[in-house]
Amino acid sequence: MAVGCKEFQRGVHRRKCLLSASLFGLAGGLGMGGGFVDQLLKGAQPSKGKVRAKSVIYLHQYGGPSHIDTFDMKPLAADGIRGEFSPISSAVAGSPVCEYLPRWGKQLDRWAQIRSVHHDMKNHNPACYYSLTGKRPPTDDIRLRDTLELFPAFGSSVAKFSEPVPGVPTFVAYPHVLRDGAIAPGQHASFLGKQFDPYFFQADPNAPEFGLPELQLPANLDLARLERRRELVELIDQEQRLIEKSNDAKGLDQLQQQALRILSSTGLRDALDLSAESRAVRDAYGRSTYGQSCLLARRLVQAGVRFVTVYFSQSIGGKGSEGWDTHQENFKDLRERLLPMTDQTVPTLIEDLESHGLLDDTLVLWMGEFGRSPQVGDRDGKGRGHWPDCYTVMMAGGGVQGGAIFGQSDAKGAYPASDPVGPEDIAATLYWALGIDPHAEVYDTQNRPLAISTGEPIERIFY
Amino acid sequence: MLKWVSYWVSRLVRGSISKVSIAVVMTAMVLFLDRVVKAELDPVVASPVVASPVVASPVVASPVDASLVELGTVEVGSRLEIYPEVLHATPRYPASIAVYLVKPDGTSLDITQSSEMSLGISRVADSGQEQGDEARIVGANSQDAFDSYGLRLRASEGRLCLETQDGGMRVAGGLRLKVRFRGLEEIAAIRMQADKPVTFSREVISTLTKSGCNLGTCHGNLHGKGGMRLSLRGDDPGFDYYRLVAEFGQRRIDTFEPKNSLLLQKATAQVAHQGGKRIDMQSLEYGVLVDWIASGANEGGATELASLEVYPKTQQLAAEQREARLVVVAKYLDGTTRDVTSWCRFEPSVPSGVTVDSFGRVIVGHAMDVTVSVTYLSARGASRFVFLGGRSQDALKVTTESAIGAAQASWKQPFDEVISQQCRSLQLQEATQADANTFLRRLFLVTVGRLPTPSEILAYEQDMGLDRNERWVDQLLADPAFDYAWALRWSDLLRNEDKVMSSHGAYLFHDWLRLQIASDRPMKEWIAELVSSTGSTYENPPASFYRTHRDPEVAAESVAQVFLGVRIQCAKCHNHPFDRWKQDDYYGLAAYFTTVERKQIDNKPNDALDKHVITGDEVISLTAKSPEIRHPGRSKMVSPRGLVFQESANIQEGEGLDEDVLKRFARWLTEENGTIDSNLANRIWYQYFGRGVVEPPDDFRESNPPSNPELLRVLTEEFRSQGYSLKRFSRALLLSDAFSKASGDDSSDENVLPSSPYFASYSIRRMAAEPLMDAISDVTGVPTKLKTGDEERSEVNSAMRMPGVPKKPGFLTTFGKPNRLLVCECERSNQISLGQSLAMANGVEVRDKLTATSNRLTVLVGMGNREAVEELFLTSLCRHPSHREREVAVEMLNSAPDKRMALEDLLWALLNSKEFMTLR
Repeated sequence: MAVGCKEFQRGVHRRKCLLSASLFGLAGGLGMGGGFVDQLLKGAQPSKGKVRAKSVIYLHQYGGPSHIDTFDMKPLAADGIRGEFSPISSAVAGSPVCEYLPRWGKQLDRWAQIRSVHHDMKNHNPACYYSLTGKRPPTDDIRLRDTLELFPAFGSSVAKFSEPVPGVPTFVAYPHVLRDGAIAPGQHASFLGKQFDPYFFQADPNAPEFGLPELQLPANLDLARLERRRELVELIDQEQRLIEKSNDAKGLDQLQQQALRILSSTGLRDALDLSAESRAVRDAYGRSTYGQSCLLARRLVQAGVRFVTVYFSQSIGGKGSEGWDTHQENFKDLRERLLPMTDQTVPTLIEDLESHGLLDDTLVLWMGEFGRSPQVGDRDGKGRGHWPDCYTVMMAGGGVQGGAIFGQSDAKGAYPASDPVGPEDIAATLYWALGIDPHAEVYDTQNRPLAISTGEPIERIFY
Repeated sequence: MLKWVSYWVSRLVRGSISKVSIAVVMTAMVLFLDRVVKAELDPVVASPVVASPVVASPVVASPVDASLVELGTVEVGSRLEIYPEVLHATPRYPASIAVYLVKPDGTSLDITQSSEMSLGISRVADSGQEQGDEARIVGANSQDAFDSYGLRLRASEGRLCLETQDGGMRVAGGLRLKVRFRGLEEIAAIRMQADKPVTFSREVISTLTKSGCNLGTCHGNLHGKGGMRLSLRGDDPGFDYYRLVAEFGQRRIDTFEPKNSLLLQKATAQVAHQGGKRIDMQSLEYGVLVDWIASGANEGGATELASLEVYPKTQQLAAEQREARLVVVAKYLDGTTRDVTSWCRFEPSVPSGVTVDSFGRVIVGHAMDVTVSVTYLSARGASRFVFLGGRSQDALKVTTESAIGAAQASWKQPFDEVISQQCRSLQLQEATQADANTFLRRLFLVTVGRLPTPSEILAYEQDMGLDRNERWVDQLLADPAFDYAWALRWSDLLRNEDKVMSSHGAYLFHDWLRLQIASDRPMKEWIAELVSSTGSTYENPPASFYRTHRDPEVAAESVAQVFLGVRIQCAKCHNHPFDRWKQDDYYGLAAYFTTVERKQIDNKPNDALDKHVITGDEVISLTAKSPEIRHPGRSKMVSPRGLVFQESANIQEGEGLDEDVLKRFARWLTEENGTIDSNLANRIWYQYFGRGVVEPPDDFRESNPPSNPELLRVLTEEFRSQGYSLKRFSRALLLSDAFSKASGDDSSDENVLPSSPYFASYSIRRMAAEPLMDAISDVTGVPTKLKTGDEERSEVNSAMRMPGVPKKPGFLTTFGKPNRLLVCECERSNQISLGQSLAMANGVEVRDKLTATSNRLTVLVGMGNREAVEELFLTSLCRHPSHREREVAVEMLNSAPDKRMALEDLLWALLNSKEFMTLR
């Protein structure tokens, strides 16, 4: 049955984040995790107008990973908060990571941590929409419907402001449709129009037969013939003028144009052929859907795709399956399933991008829709609840200053203690890094001009 | 004076004055009206105003609100509506007033705060004689003093309300409120009452609900928040009283220093509160909580609500209107009545573009049809507002045109007239008839799930009989493909999927469903059999219902959603937050299914841990136990009890259980509950029109009303009078004006209401997965072989006839065929995607059929080019090529070096045209 997360019920916390931050700020400053912050950042002078990244790989972590059990550990906090895991030292002095992320810890000096991300959406789907678009949803309600009034996915906005690379889609997303009961909004182009939708597939890159046969043109179908066919379609379409009358027909037309462009080149086809990679590389990523999806992300970026979104899981998870929604068995799920998979795959992606000379041009974003409650004890006493009030977002590559730590949480990891930022600012940072004006305007169905982001780029984490 | 105004306004409307002078006059008029208002209040001021009607002096033109022009005259036949008819006022619960000007076309304006309106309070003595006006206020001007009755009318915080000083104890006889607006007058009665002491279960609970304290994301959560737990939305006042007053040694309230109560300090964020500031210290809510604590924080008696009335029930707001008011009145079992507008929680059905403030003002940003759900204590209500949007001038034009159209029309079906009436009142232009070829294609696709063949098209074209459509519809209803189309639909809804059913079981269940349709057995009869059958699912396939629905809760949820359109899932853990259903209802329904037992005969799943896979037969039986289920909220066992849809129907728990419990249930479901009829009628309508009168078709609730309530009523009546016969009812729908309308323009212009929800036009949608796949097979002449997984009948050559679901993702799943894991209509996706475009442009499915060595093209190569083009257009688009299409296509074939390849190109283009891929 379609059941939402237990926390789905409607409600709005109009938290005054800054107020909370100031209430807890003092405690945070005195606790551990305060002193080293921003050391690396002071000298960094952002250079204006420079395009830092050519592509973005967004590793979206549905369900909401615990920040306290990964990168923003609180070993000095009370029993019910610090959790079961021990911190281990990392490549960044003074910034320990969870004992179950040893590989990621060793390459933490490639990453910037943003530890003061916060918002006020407590339900998965609204929060997920926030994390996929950088726009605050109109309501914190699981019933938030995926209408054309809602904002486009990051990748769709990027596509809107990008010169298309012939033969590859600008925006590719796979291998899941995110849903918590209902489909989470923010996974497509919405009012920008279907032509900016992601090229999306649900095929499992880890399956032996993985491939998208619709991309192979038959031998006798050359480009001239394809063009002839396109002209014929145009002729027939003009007859009933459906494209003018119906949104569906209009969308079909835009998607068809895009499909024909992709078919007339080889870029995407070759990128999807994972068998071109050595067994060693494929094993290194992990023989999981997530592992092979991340390998595919590198190949897509190589082929010129501008924005790749890899969804970690199709649903929020919980009760020992799929996503990061660890209400029930937070520590068991993290230790046995979520962290080992993450620690195998994500560091491999960074190393691989680097060895292909792509890391400087590729911004990797690791982010969920929220963090998890500092207080352990949700449900049967072993879980952590939803926590949008403060969590950690990771970025690497694309000009990011490795080892940077932006913002800090309070002693409990509950509220930002300094430099609070929201998903708006993460969005602005992505656009800015790609050389797109974060406040560029798009027009919605009402022809109203709207800025693609209302946030400010976090320039200080870039060199 | 007013005559003078309306003279100018009528001249303006007739357009006899130049545009410049309109602006000047209008500006002057605004100023003037203001003085008229004052003049009415004070006759001394009046005369100089009357003496100076000359407005020629150069007044600087300021922007004029266009709606004033509209307001200028009252059309003949207009009337005032005051809500509520009886105003109930106490010192703590002032009576709010909503006044609408309803025009002859049925559209209205909220004029509650119009500066032209005057309100007077008069007294009706015991003799029945009215005594003169004593209190009077006009529009937005407030009168601060209480009059001699202890009443004052006041415009405050965006609403007009009637406040009492001391409960009106001094008034003998009745009071009346007289509303005047441009010569119109309407009267409401006033009842003044004294307040009762603040009661926990009334004032405190409604304050907590309105402030959001007891929502699921806050303290209403099953686990509470921050150590405090309240019942969800105040369901259980006794529980909440204990939490607030008794728990932890009264730490949450301080009766000696009420303002120091932790409850208030948290709620106002004076001390740190995770939920932030919920209540303002200046607010009504704060005052109520302080009063309650100061008076001893008593629990008081229980507050039993008798009913909750929301006014108006529905209102159509005229063009350009953006605001409407509602009023909520609660009646309690102790006989008292209160205006609780400010004590409710409002939730609009449209998630954005609309706000409802705490005074019941609904404010929208564009045209919309919105239903506002109202929660007060344990009661729910709703009110529907249709904002026509657009510009008044456009609307006027449409009205005139459609009025002419309607006068000429004679309706094919009674419900067609109902649709026309609504279109006129919503100022929607009804579409003309679709052309014959479009109609035929649509008819075939919705009934038999395939395209008409060229010979069928030609036969239809040449059929000149007046009863042509009747005969064609009858023929299609008798076609076995019709039975398959409905077996597919019911297989979707009843979760007929191979894993739990086994492929053979899925085939048998599908076939049983098909036979019910084929024999046109009354639908309620076979549904009753379906939900009451036991035995081997192989020998008695309807017993499969309990194979696919494996526990009492799931069976209850499915029955409620599939047959009654009730989404009762929420009530499993707590009373439904958006509907009337309680946990009692949920478990009462689930209790029917507690004695169902399942025994596997030959279960050999590949993976022993996968409990979702059952192979072989399964035998359903009932145990001898008495059917009952544990109600977790009440910690007791409850007996079977059906959902109660009407207040009058009173079903006793466990009644009539001496008979077979499932038979008892079937009787309740199909005969006693009274809502299955409209639900089935709506489902059937949805199949043919692409959207339900209630949409989605499986979500019936007061807060999601039918787009046209009268249409649903008439359809239900029709379905009943046809003896619940699917075929006869379908015949009526298919032979209606509504079904033969041309498809409309659904491009998203938020300034006007869309036409398809009201069936002013036929909706355009992408063809569903199965008919699309079959159409490609038919057009190319290459059948698809689909594996069923069943040994007995291992292949079908039509996607429409596939009993179960595909094992692997492919063409059908790309186009949204459901996995049948939900009973929700929403599981079938009608979205469009790049993956679909690639599948059509170059997917194996289309490619292989296009190039197959023995397909339709193999024959066409040998024919004349003109004939070949004709046939390809007829087979795929079900119409003849236009002159231009024919010339271009024939020329292409004539000049092609390889005719076969050129034919492939043409057919490819036809399959990839938007016309082919859509049902319209």
